Amino acid sequence: MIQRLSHITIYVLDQDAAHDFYINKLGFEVRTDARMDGGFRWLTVGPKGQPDLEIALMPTTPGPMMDQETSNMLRTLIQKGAIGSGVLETADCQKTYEELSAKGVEFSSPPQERFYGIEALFKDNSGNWFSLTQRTEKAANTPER
Amino acid sequence: METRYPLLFASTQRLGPLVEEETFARLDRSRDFIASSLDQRIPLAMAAQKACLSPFHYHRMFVRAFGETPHDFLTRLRIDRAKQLLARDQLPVTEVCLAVGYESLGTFSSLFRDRVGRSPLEYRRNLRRVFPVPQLAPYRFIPACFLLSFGSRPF
Repeated sequence: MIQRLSHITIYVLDQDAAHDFYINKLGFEVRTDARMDGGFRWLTVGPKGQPDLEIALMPTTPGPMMDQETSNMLRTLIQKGAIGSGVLETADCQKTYEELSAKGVEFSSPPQERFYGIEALFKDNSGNWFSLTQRTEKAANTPER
Repeated sequence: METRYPLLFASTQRLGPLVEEETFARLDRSRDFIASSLDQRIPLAMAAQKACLSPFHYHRMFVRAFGETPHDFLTRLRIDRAKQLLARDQLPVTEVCLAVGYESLGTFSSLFRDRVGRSPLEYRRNLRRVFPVPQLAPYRFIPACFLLSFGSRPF
């Protein structure tokens, strides 16, 4: 049986810029930052509340698995905002929205009430979008461990 | 207004409720303090004080916020740092042990073996075998599929 998610990929236009965004704006931490032979940089980050999750910020560099045409298409899709990358949870959507906005994070939707909570949408500096959600439904408040 | 992507949460399974915003920020400060003092002894009371919480409450909230105990967090960072030193530097194991805050080589070695699955020396030898240039050695696991997709050599 599959039990957990350990690694997930987010393609970014530029790893240096993405590093700055995820660490200095979103407040994530670096999990691994290793430069390999051939110039490949393995850069993974994660939110502080999930120490065992690694989000790989992958470059769109053409290589054995991706030709130039695919790379160009992927970059176009990312920039167009066609790729949704996930839901990030916060205890206070409004406050986090204000903090991130002040740091220059671009929101495509401010916090809004939904039936499951309060949700805002933002983009990273490549164009990948995320939901920032404060869940209010009862199910989210199961007793602590 | 953005309504293209209504999000439905199918799963109700979670680790537990999130920690309230201000408490999380305090815990985060204390966690940064722990991370910056890897080579020192950090009593729980001192770490708790940095977050302005009682030790008991601090411990409980830390686990809720970060999914591990303060002690597990400290140990994880120390082992990570040790792996980095073993992989990239020429330091003898005893000095690596001291550099990451352990006074006894025995304690360090058995802890390392417990977490990493190999003794510090075996770990170093294994990495050096595939990485002739220690500076390039990653001290964390990189899935081979990712390396292959960039034409790097898996190990």
